[in-house]
Amino acid sequence: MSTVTIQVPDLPARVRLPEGDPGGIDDFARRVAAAGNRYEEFGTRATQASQVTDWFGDAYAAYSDTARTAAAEHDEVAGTMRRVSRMLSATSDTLSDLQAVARRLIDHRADLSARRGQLLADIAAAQDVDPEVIRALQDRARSLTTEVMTLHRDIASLEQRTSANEDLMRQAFVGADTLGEGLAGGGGSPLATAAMGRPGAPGSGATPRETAAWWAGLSDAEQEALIAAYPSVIGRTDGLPATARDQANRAMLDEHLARMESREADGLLGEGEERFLENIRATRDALDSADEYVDLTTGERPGGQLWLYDPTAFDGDGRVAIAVGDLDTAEDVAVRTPGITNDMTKARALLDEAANVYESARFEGDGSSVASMMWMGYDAPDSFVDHATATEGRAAEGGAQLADSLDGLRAARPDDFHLTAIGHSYGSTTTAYAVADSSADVDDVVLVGSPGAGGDNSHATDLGIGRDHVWVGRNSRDIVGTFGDEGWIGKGGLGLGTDPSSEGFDAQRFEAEDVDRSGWHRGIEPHGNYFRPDTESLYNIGRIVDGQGGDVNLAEQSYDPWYDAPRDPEVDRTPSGGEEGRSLTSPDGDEELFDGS
Amino acid sequence: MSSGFGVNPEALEYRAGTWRDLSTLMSDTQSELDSAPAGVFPPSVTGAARAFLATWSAAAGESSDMASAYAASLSATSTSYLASDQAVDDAFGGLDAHLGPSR
Repeated sequence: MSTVTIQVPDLPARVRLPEGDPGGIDDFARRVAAAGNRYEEFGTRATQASQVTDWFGDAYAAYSDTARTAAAEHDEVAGTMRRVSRMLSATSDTLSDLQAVARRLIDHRADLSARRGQLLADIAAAQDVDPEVIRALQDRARSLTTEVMTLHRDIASLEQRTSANEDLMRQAFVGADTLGEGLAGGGGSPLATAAMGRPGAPGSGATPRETAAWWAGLSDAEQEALIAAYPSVIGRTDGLPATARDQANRAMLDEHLARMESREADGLLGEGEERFLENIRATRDALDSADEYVDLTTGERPGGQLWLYDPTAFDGDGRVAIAVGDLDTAEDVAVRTPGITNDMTKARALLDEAANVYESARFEGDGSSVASMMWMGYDAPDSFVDHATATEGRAAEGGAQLADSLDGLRAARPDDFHLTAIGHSYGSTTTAYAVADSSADVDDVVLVGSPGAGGDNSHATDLGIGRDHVWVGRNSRDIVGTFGDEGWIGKGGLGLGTDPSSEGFDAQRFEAEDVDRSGWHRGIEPHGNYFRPDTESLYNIGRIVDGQGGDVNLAEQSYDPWYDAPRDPEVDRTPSGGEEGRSLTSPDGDEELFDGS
Repeated sequence: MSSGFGVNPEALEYRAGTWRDLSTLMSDTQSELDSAPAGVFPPSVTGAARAFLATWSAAAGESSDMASAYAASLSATSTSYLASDQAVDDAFGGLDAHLGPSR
């Protein structure tokens, strides 16, 4: 009889659950934020109190000077309190994640322990067995060894991340545990400050690619510290991952909402602050909608991302971009730019339309993952009678801003993905500028309800991505879609350049008619229907976003014969609604609404 | 010295009320910070959390005292201006401005 030795690995002694109470830390962070709000209120009211009606002279000057100093110092402390609160919230989230990881590892260790015990028992029972049984026991031991080694590594990683997270918590306090630090506007983290000093950091003149590389080179703790200490910078910097921007922007949103609602409750809202609060609430509403959105194809929630958030930009109109889906991992990404009259207060309606695009791309798609973002990142003209509406200045400026955002999305990801830029109305002109006048690396462009492709874009090839990737939707009853120039006479500057649905522009025009159009009348109402569920337009946009251009239902281009007025062949075509392969865009198509009558 | 001065004592009293409100606000803040539980943190962080709370609780108390002092000073200033005005009023009222027998 021979003896065979089988090595059975020892298990790690135990998996430690990271200590601390994430819910309690969140509550603590809220108390600190509330204290910050009170310091701010002190600052605001002390500033008011520093002025006393009908009092002048040396005594007044002395009083007023000291009261203003007190106000300024309390404002400074308010900022410190908020930074500490943000950092605690971030570390509390991380602690919660780490505890979940630890629980999984504890369960996994218990499973390995049971398997190890069984293996030892089987080995002990193996007397005079044939070689095959021995090989099977050896295979089980090897497999167990591999898993135990992985468990050791996972535990080491957990402990290292736990330690880094606790360091971050301590730094939040240590950077603000003296009056001097609080008054110096500190309360940040030495980790964050050091990271911001490295090459590639935001504000260093780095390109989005360089900023992406800088971020990728930081530790988890440094990234968390930066998000907590510099949320407004991290939330808007192109090249950073969408998850980081989202986390930073959500922290800002929560903080703004708590602060402004508190001021509103105390009757302290000042000039411009009501609009500020309106923008914040509109963002909250839209983001909640994105978070709660359910993919009807899978029944799962893809989640929302707050990619851009600046409620005071553009004289109070604000800037915001919110996505349904994960911009860091989606195989197909769509960015939709809206037109005139849109600002931050319209975030919810724009988000809902972005969700419609998401749904259309997923429904009967090729199974690829999708992220669809509403991008209200430029200063769109305010109304039809706004002088800016009749000119291309805002579109050119907005185009440059959109191009930066598209570049940023690309730079933030190491992988290749399919990117579609969608522009509606004045936003289509903005989108055409972004693609034609910059290096924005988009795969497909969709222009719907376009008053013109702007600038020198007289042909689809001028956009620089190939004629076959320029898609145009024009409802024949949409009056805005008829503003663009076509034919040899043109329209005397009524629109914003060449009509992209025209024969001369020669883009890929797709079907975009409504079943509920009435008669021959051209009006403004059809202008708002391009993203409605179960329409031809949304169906075709979904196919383009999904990267399935071959499935798009093309329409004849409009044309302008030299001897007559412009003509649109789509005027006479019978439109479809909720029809499979043409206008059905979701599994729960509303047949009642689109019954073709 | 300025070239002159003027005052509405009622306005001073009004602002003193604002400072009294701020004193209450910061005393509430102090209580809120005092009751924040540092025990929710991991043991390695608890000490730092306690030091933070101690600093800012004391600072909130200091702010409350400061606001009270402003309120008291403004009220005292108002009283002082009124007293001074009254004293001057009395002084001039006591002067005999008549000539001859009625003096």
